[in-house]
Amino acid sequence: MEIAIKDIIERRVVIAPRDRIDAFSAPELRSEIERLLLDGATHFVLDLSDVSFLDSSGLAVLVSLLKRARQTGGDVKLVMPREDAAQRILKLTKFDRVFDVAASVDAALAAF
Amino acid sequence: MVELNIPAEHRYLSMADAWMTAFIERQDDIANRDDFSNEFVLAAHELVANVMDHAYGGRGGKISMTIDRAKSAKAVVMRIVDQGKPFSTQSRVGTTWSASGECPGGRRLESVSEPEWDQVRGRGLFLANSLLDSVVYCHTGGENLWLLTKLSK
Repeated sequence: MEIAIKDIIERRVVIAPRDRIDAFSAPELRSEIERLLLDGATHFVLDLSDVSFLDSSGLAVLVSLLKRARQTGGDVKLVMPREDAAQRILKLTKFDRVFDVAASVDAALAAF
Repeated sequence: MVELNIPAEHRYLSMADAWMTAFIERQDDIANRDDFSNEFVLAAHELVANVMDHAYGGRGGKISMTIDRAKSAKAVVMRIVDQGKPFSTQSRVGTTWSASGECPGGRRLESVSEPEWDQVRGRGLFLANSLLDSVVYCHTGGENLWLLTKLSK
């Protein structure tokens, strides 16, 4: 009898940056995400609860992650920032509709 | 009027943001001051970052800024001046501009197409146009000048 077995591992990662994600700090976040992608991570929870400020450079990192994750059959769930200043850009650019938004990290992980 | 000069390096963006926030905090008559501040700072931040990246190409330079109350309206106005590469309003796809008398050869930003969700670059002007009441650009005397205005409503 032939038995084919596929071992499918879905690697989930929670990324929780703090404080500012802007043109200065975004490259560091991007590098860290790149490392995780190369390491085989496919499903990401981006916990932005403790992010105080987000600019378009930060958005670019989020977009890049979403595209890369989906290309490999994965996905990204977003936990929104608590601070208005960081939420504002996500709402203005309708990113809160582009991403699946979860109320918490646990809810995001359960939703995969 | 309060003035700040910073090197055109990303690590000084947070300093510029804090400076703008501190000025607006002191304007007691601005309605919904926290929202006003968040919106103004985000918009101006995007334009300052654009100057760093495009006017100076990331190679450094100086950015001079002033922030003040408008003389005739309940508004905050900001000037961003650099000596980098001129900005071409004509080559920015998805934007429309009109003539502005605020400065010689002034161009006022009228509209910016909403970027596609997966667009990695080019959101700065969209955000500035969405959050401010007026964005004017001039190139005069070898300098680039951005004039930003936000009205308190």
